[in-house]
Amino acid sequence: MVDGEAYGGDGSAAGSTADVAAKGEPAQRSEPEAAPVTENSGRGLYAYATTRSGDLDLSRVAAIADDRAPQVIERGDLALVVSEIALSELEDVSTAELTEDSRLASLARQHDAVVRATFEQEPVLPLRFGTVLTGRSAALHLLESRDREARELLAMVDGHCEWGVRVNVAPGAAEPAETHNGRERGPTPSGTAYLSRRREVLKERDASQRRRQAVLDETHRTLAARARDSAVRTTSSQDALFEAAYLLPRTREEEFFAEADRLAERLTSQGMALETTGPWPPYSFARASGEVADD
Amino acid sequence: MTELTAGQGTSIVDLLDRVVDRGAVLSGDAIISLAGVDLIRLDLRLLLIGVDEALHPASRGVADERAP
Repeated sequence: MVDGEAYGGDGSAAGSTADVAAKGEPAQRSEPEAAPVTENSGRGLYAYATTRSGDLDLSRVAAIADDRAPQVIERGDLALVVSEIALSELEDVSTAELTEDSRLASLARQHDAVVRATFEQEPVLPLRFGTVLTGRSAALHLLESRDREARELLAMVDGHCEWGVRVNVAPGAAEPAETHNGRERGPTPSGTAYLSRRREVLKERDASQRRRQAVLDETHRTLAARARDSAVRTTSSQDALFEAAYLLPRTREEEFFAEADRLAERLTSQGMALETTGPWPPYSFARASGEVADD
Repeated sequence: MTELTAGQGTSIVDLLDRVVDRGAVLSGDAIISLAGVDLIRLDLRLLLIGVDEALHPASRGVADERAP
Protein backbone atom coordinates (compact mmCIF):
# COMPACT_ATOMS: atom_id res chain seq x y z
CA MET A 1 0.00 0.00 0.00
CA VAL A 2 2.91 2.34 0.56
CA ASP A 3 4.75 3.57 -2.46
CA GLY A 4 7.82 1.43 -2.88
CA GLU A 5 10.02 4.32 -3.95
CA ALA A 6 10.09 5.68 -0.47
CA TYR A 7 12.43 8.59 -0.71
CA GLY A 8 13.01 9.16 -4.36
CA GLY A 9 9.41 9.33 -5.41
CA ASP A 10 8.51 12.53 -3.66
CA GLY A 11 9.00 15.70 -5.60
CA SER A 12 7.91 18.29 -3.09
CA ALA A 13 11.42 19.12 -1.95
CA ALA A 14 12.81 19.27 -5.46
CA GLY A 15 13.86 22.45 -7.18
CA SER A 16 17.55 22.34 -7.92
CA THR A 17 18.76 20.90 -11.16
CA ALA A 18 20.68 18.28 -9.21
CA ASP A 19 17.44 16.97 -7.77
CA VAL A 20 15.83 16.82 -11.14
CA ALA A 21 18.78 15.00 -12.62
CA ALA A 22 18.78 12.46 -9.81
CA LYS A 23 15.16 11.70 -10.39
CA GLY A 24 15.81 10.59 -13.92
CA GLU A 25 17.37 7.44 -12.55
CA PRO A 26 15.39 4.55 -11.24
CA ALA A 27 14.88 4.91 -7.51
CA GLN A 28 16.75 2.37 -5.48
CA ARG A 29 14.89 0.22 -3.07
CA SER A 30 16.10 -0.79 0.34
CA GLU A 31 18.59 2.02 0.48
CA PRO A 32 16.98 4.59 2.70
CA GLU A 33 20.36 6.17 3.31
CA ALA A 34 20.45 7.28 -0.30
CA ALA A 35 18.46 10.40 0.47
CA PRO A 36 17.56 11.93 3.79
CA VAL A 37 13.93 12.44 4.59
CA THR A 38 12.99 16.06 4.68
CA GLU A 39 10.23 17.58 6.72
CA ASN A 40 8.02 18.23 3.77
CA SER A 41 8.48 14.89 2.10
CA GLY A 42 5.58 13.53 4.10
CA ARG A 43 7.59 10.50 5.03
CA GLY A 44 9.60 9.45 8.00
CA LEU A 45 11.34 6.56 9.65
CA TYR A 46 9.08 4.75 12.08
CA ALA A 47 11.13 3.47 15.02
CA TYR A 48 10.06 0.40 17.02
CA ALA A 49 12.78 -0.47 19.45
CA THR A 50 16.41 -0.27 20.39
CA THR A 51 18.20 -3.58 20.43
CA ARG A 52 21.63 -5.15 20.05
CA SER A 53 23.17 -5.35 16.65
CA GLY A 54 23.84 -8.79 15.33
CA ASP A 55 22.11 -11.25 13.10
CA LEU A 56 18.61 -10.01 13.60
CA ASP A 57 16.27 -11.64 11.09
CA LEU A 58 13.06 -9.69 10.65
CA SER A 59 12.26 -11.02 7.21
CA ARG A 60 9.16 -12.84 8.45
CA VAL A 61 7.38 -9.87 9.94
CA ALA A 62 5.69 -6.98 8.17
CA ALA A 63 6.50 -3.38 9.02
CA ILE A 64 3.77 -1.05 10.23
CA ALA A 65 1.48 0.05 7.39
CA ASP A 66 3.71 -1.78 4.93
CA ASP A 67 4.15 -5.23 3.43
CA ARG A 68 7.88 -5.21 3.53
CA ALA A 69 10.09 -6.29 6.39
CA PRO A 70 11.43 -3.71 8.83
CA GLN A 71 15.04 -2.58 8.57
CA VAL A 72 17.77 -2.55 11.15
CA ILE A 73 20.10 0.43 11.49
CA GLU A 74 23.24 -0.45 13.38
CA ARG A 75 25.78 1.67 15.16
CA GLY A 76 28.46 -0.23 17.02
CA ASP A 77 26.77 -2.91 19.07
CA LEU A 78 23.43 -1.11 19.24
CA ALA A 79 20.70 -1.20 16.64
CA LEU A 80 17.41 0.50 15.94
CA VAL A 81 14.55 -1.35 14.27
CA VAL A 82 12.81 0.98 11.81
CA SER A 83 10.72 1.14 8.67
CA GLU A 84 9.78 3.86 6.25
CA ILE A 85 6.34 5.28 6.67
CA ALA A 86 4.11 7.85 5.04
CA LEU A 87 3.12 10.22 7.83
CA SER A 88 -0.43 10.21 6.54
CA GLU A 89 -0.68 6.61 7.78
CA LEU A 90 -0.57 7.89 11.34
CA GLU A 91 -2.83 10.86 10.92
CA ASP A 92 -6.37 10.79 12.15
CA VAL A 93 -6.07 7.43 13.81
CA SER A 94 -9.06 7.46 16.04
CA THR A 95 -10.00 5.72 19.23
CA ALA A 96 -13.66 6.45 18.63
CA GLU A 97 -14.48 2.95 17.47
CA LEU A 98 -12.11 0.70 19.22
CA THR A 99 -12.75 -2.77 17.92
CA GLU A 100 -10.40 -5.64 17.22
CA ASP A 101 -10.26 -4.63 13.57
CA SER A 102 -10.14 -0.85 13.98
CA ARG A 103 -7.27 1.00 12.40
CA LEU A 104 -5.58 1.79 15.70
CA ALA A 105 -5.85 -1.82 16.83
CA SER A 106 -4.33 -3.02 13.59
CA LEU A 107 -1.44 -0.52 13.72
CA ALA A 108 -0.78 -1.36 17.36
CA ARG A 109 -0.72 -5.06 16.51
CA GLN A 110 1.75 -4.45 13.71
CA HIS A 111 3.97 -2.41 16.03
CA ASP A 112 3.79 -5.16 18.65
CA ALA A 113 4.53 -7.87 16.07
CA VAL A 114 7.78 -6.16 15.06
CA VAL A 115 8.80 -5.56 18.67
CA ARG A 116 8.04 -9.21 19.47
CA ALA A 117 9.91 -10.57 16.48
CA THR A 118 12.93 -8.63 17.70
CA PHE A 119 12.33 -9.64 21.31
CA GLU A 120 12.40 -13.32 20.31
CA GLN A 121 15.96 -12.90 19.10
CA GLU A 122 17.55 -10.13 21.13
CA PRO A 123 16.76 -8.01 24.17
CA VAL A 124 14.67 -4.96 23.24
CA LEU A 125 13.79 -1.54 24.57
CA PRO A 126 10.48 -0.75 22.90
CA LEU A 127 9.73 2.81 21.87
CA ARG A 128 6.30 4.24 22.32
CA PHE A 129 3.83 3.81 19.47
CA GLY A 130 4.08 6.60 16.93
CA THR A 131 7.77 7.43 17.28
CA VAL A 132 8.82 8.72 13.87
CA LEU A 133 12.31 9.99 13.09
CA THR A 134 13.26 12.39 10.33
CA GLY A 135 15.62 9.88 8.77
CA ARG A 136 18.62 7.65 8.99
CA SER A 137 20.97 10.25 10.42
CA ALA A 138 18.48 10.87 13.22
CA ALA A 139 18.45 7.13 13.92
CA LEU A 140 22.23 7.09 14.16
CA HIS A 141 22.17 10.14 16.44
CA LEU A 142 19.62 8.46 18.61
CA LEU A 143 21.78 5.37 18.99
CA GLU A 144 24.77 7.56 19.77
CA SER A 145 23.02 9.74 22.31
CA ARG A 146 21.40 6.87 24.16
CA ASP A 147 24.41 4.60 23.90
CA ARG A 148 25.31 4.17 27.53
CA GLU A 149 21.81 4.17 28.88
CA ALA A 150 20.63 1.73 26.22
CA ARG A 151 23.40 -0.72 27.01
CA GLU A 152 22.57 -0.65 30.70
CA LEU A 153 18.88 -1.13 30.12
CA LEU A 154 19.45 -3.86 27.54
CA ALA A 155 21.65 -5.70 30.01
CA MET A 156 18.88 -5.43 32.57
CA VAL A 157 16.07 -6.75 30.35
CA ASP A 158 18.17 -9.46 28.70
CA GLY A 159 16.60 -12.86 29.43
CA HIS A 160 13.54 -11.26 31.00
CA CYS A 161 9.86 -10.93 30.13
CA GLU A 162 7.32 -8.48 31.37
CA TRP A 163 4.15 -9.73 33.06
CA GLY A 164 1.24 -7.52 33.97
CA VAL A 165 -0.74 -8.02 37.16
CA ARG A 166 -4.04 -6.34 37.83
CA VAL A 167 -6.31 -6.65 40.81
CA ASN A 168 -9.95 -5.76 40.34
CA VAL A 169 -12.95 -5.78 42.56
CA ALA A 170 -14.32 -9.27 41.93
CA PRO A 171 -17.33 -9.17 39.62
CA GLY A 172 -20.43 -9.33 41.76
CA ALA A 173 -18.50 -8.92 45.00
CA ALA A 174 -20.39 -6.71 47.39
CA GLU A 175 -18.59 -4.21 49.52
CA PRO A 176 -18.73 -5.84 52.95
CA ALA A 177 -20.32 -2.69 54.34
CA GLU A 178 -23.21 -2.89 51.94
CA THR A 179 -24.76 -5.83 53.71
CA HIS A 180 -25.42 -3.54 56.62
CA ASN A 181 -26.95 -0.90 54.52
CA GLY A 182 -30.42 -0.02 55.72
CA ARG A 183 -32.09 -0.38 52.41
CA GLU A 184 -33.68 -3.80 52.69
CA ARG A 185 -34.89 -3.43 56.22
CA GLY A 186 -38.44 -2.39 56.68
CA PRO A 187 -39.41 1.16 57.51
CA THR A 188 -37.06 4.10 57.09
CA PRO A 189 -35.19 4.62 60.37
CA SER A 190 -35.35 7.86 62.31
CA GLY A 191 -32.76 10.55 61.60
CA THR A 192 -30.64 9.70 64.64
CA ALA A 193 -30.79 5.98 64.02
CA TYR A 194 -29.87 6.55 60.39
CA LEU A 195 -26.87 8.68 61.27
CA SER A 196 -25.57 6.24 63.79
CA ARG A 197 -26.02 3.33 61.41
CA ARG A 198 -24.36 5.36 58.72
CA ARG A 199 -21.35 5.99 60.95
CA GLU A 200 -21.14 2.28 61.61
CA VAL A 201 -21.26 1.53 57.91
CA LEU A 202 -18.50 4.01 57.16
CA LYS A 203 -16.35 2.68 59.96
CA GLU A 204 -16.74 -0.84 58.70
CA ARG A 205 -16.00 0.27 55.22
CA ASP A 206 -12.78 1.94 56.36
CA ALA A 207 -11.73 -1.22 58.12
CA SER A 208 -12.48 -3.31 55.08
CA GLN A 209 -10.56 -0.94 52.86
CA ARG A 210 -7.60 -1.15 55.17
CA ARG A 211 -7.74 -4.94 55.07
CA ARG A 212 -7.87 -4.86 51.29
CA GLN A 213 -5.00 -2.42 51.10
CA ALA A 214 -2.91 -4.64 53.35
CA VAL A 215 -3.45 -7.62 51.03
CA LEU A 216 -2.67 -5.48 48.00
CA ASP A 217 0.55 -4.23 49.60
CA GLU A 218 1.55 -7.76 50.42
CA THR A 219 0.74 -8.86 46.89
CA HIS A 220 3.06 -6.28 45.41
CA ARG A 221 5.82 -6.87 47.96
CA THR A 222 5.77 -10.60 47.38
CA LEU A 223 5.69 -10.41 43.59
CA ALA A 224 8.28 -7.63 43.42
CA ALA A 225 10.65 -9.73 45.52
CA ARG A 226 10.65 -12.31 42.72
CA ALA A 227 11.13 -9.81 39.92
CA ARG A 228 14.17 -8.01 38.66
CA ASP A 229 12.19 -4.79 38.59
CA SER A 230 8.63 -3.60 38.90
CA ALA A 231 6.54 -0.65 37.79
CA VAL A 232 3.39 0.19 39.68
CA ARG A 233 0.74 1.96 37.72
CA THR A 234 -1.47 4.55 39.25
CA THR A 235 -4.74 2.78 38.69
CA SER A 236 -6.68 3.63 35.61
CA SER A 237 -10.12 3.18 37.06
CA GLN A 238 -11.93 2.92 40.33
CA ASP A 239 -12.34 -0.80 39.83
CA ALA A 240 -8.74 -1.63 39.09
CA LEU A 241 -7.46 -1.52 42.64
CA PHE A 242 -3.91 -2.28 41.71
CA GLU A 243 -1.93 -2.56 38.53
CA ALA A 244 1.74 -3.28 38.06
CA ALA A 245 4.24 -4.72 35.63
CA TYR A 246 7.00 -7.09 36.70
CA LEU A 247 10.21 -7.81 34.89
CA LEU A 248 10.81 -11.51 35.36
CA PRO A 249 13.79 -13.68 34.58
CA ARG A 250 12.43 -16.35 32.24
CA THR A 251 13.83 -18.98 34.54
CA ARG A 252 11.73 -17.77 37.46
CA GLU A 253 8.32 -17.50 35.86
CA GLU A 254 6.94 -20.68 37.44
CA GLU A 255 7.92 -19.56 40.88
CA PHE A 256 6.27 -16.21 40.25
CA PHE A 257 3.03 -17.82 39.13
CA ALA A 258 2.93 -20.18 42.07
CA GLU A 259 3.17 -17.13 44.28
CA ALA A 260 0.55 -15.26 42.27
CA ASP A 261 -1.86 -18.20 42.65
CA ARG A 262 -1.38 -18.23 46.39
CA LEU A 263 -1.98 -14.48 46.56
CA ALA A 264 -5.00 -14.77 44.29
CA GLU A 265 -6.68 -16.96 46.89
CA ARG A 266 -6.20 -14.39 49.60
CA LEU A 267 -7.43 -11.65 47.30
CA THR A 268 -10.51 -13.66 46.40
CA SER A 269 -11.36 -14.03 50.07
CA GLN A 270 -11.39 -10.23 50.25
CA GLY A 271 -13.68 -9.83 47.24
CA MET A 272 -10.91 -9.11 44.76
CA ALA A 273 -9.69 -10.86 41.64
CA LEU A 274 -6.16 -11.10 40.30
CA GLU A 275 -5.46 -11.16 36.56
CA THR A 276 -2.19 -11.57 34.76
CA THR A 277 -1.27 -10.61 31.20
CA GLY A 278 1.82 -11.54 29.29
CA PRO A 279 4.44 -12.44 28.49
CA TRP A 280 5.24 -9.02 27.03
CA PRO A 281 8.40 -7.52 25.67
CA PRO A 282 9.58 -5.12 28.38
CA TYR A 283 7.31 -2.23 27.36
CA SER A 284 7.20 -0.88 30.91
CA PHE A 285 10.95 -1.09 31.47
CA ALA A 286 12.34 0.82 28.51
CA ARG A 287 11.51 3.80 30.57
CA ALA A 288 14.24 6.31 29.94
CA SER A 289 13.05 9.24 27.95
CA GLY A 290 15.53 11.09 25.84
CA GLU A 291 16.20 13.92 23.50
CA VAL A 292 17.30 13.29 19.97
CA ALA A 293 18.73 16.12 18.00
CA ASP A 294 19.26 16.00 14.28
CA ASP A 295 22.78 17.45 13.91
CA MET B 1 4.42 -12.82 5.46
CA THR B 2 3.91 -14.31 8.89
CA GLU B 3 2.40 -12.02 11.37
CA LEU B 4 3.52 -12.77 14.86
CA THR B 5 0.71 -11.77 17.11
CA ALA B 6 0.47 -11.01 20.74
CA GLY B 7 0.00 -13.89 23.15
CA GLN B 8 -3.27 -15.75 23.14
CA GLY B 9 -6.15 -14.03 24.79
CA THR B 10 -4.51 -10.63 24.79
CA SER B 11 -7.29 -8.11 24.66
CA ILE B 12 -7.01 -5.08 22.49
CA VAL B 13 -7.21 -2.91 25.58
CA ASP B 14 -4.22 -4.59 27.18
CA LEU B 15 -2.34 -4.39 23.91
CA LEU B 16 -3.00 -0.67 23.46
CA ASP B 17 -2.17 -0.04 27.07
CA ARG B 18 1.30 -1.45 26.46
CA VAL B 19 2.00 -0.32 22.92
CA VAL B 20 0.48 3.16 22.94
CA ASP B 21 0.90 4.10 26.54
CA ARG B 22 4.28 2.69 27.53
CA GLY B 23 7.67 2.34 25.95
CA ALA B 24 10.46 4.87 25.85
CA VAL B 25 9.41 8.38 24.90
CA LEU B 26 11.73 10.43 22.75
CA SER B 27 11.60 14.08 21.99
CA GLY B 28 13.74 16.48 20.02
CA ASP B 29 14.19 17.99 16.60
CA ALA B 30 14.61 14.67 14.88
CA ILE B 31 11.29 13.34 16.13
CA ILE B 32 8.40 14.08 13.84
CA SER B 33 5.56 15.17 16.02
CA LEU B 34 2.23 13.64 15.05
CA ALA B 35 -0.65 15.42 16.66
CA GLY B 36 -2.93 12.47 15.99
CA VAL B 37 -0.76 10.12 18.00
CA ASP B 38 -0.59 12.43 21.01
CA LEU B 39 -4.34 12.77 20.93
CA ILE B 40 -4.64 9.00 20.89
CA ARG B 41 -2.67 8.85 24.12
CA LEU B 42 -4.95 11.32 25.82
CA ASP B 43 -7.98 9.62 24.47
CA LEU B 44 -6.75 6.19 25.35
CA ARG B 45 -6.50 7.00 29.03
CA LEU B 46 -10.14 7.99 29.04
CA LEU B 47 -11.04 5.03 26.93
CA LEU B 48 -9.30 2.50 29.13
CA ILE B 49 -11.18 3.80 32.12
CA GLY B 50 -14.43 3.50 30.21
CA VAL B 51 -13.74 -0.04 29.05
CA ASP B 52 -12.71 -1.10 32.50
CA GLU B 53 -15.93 0.18 33.94
CA ALA B 54 -17.93 -1.52 31.23
CA LEU B 55 -16.24 -4.81 32.08
CA HIS B 56 -16.70 -4.49 35.82
CA PRO B 57 -19.85 -2.55 36.47
CA ALA B 58 -20.54 -4.44 39.70
CA SER B 59 -19.02 -2.03 42.14
CA ARG B 60 -20.03 1.13 40.43
CA GLY B 61 -22.63 3.48 41.82
CA VAL B 62 -22.97 1.71 45.13
CA ALA B 63 -26.42 2.36 46.53
CA ASP B 64 -24.94 3.27 49.87
CA GLU B 65 -24.73 6.93 48.91
CA ARG B 66 -28.49 7.22 48.78
CA ALA B 67 -30.31 9.62 50.98
CA PRO B 68 -32.46 8.00 53.67
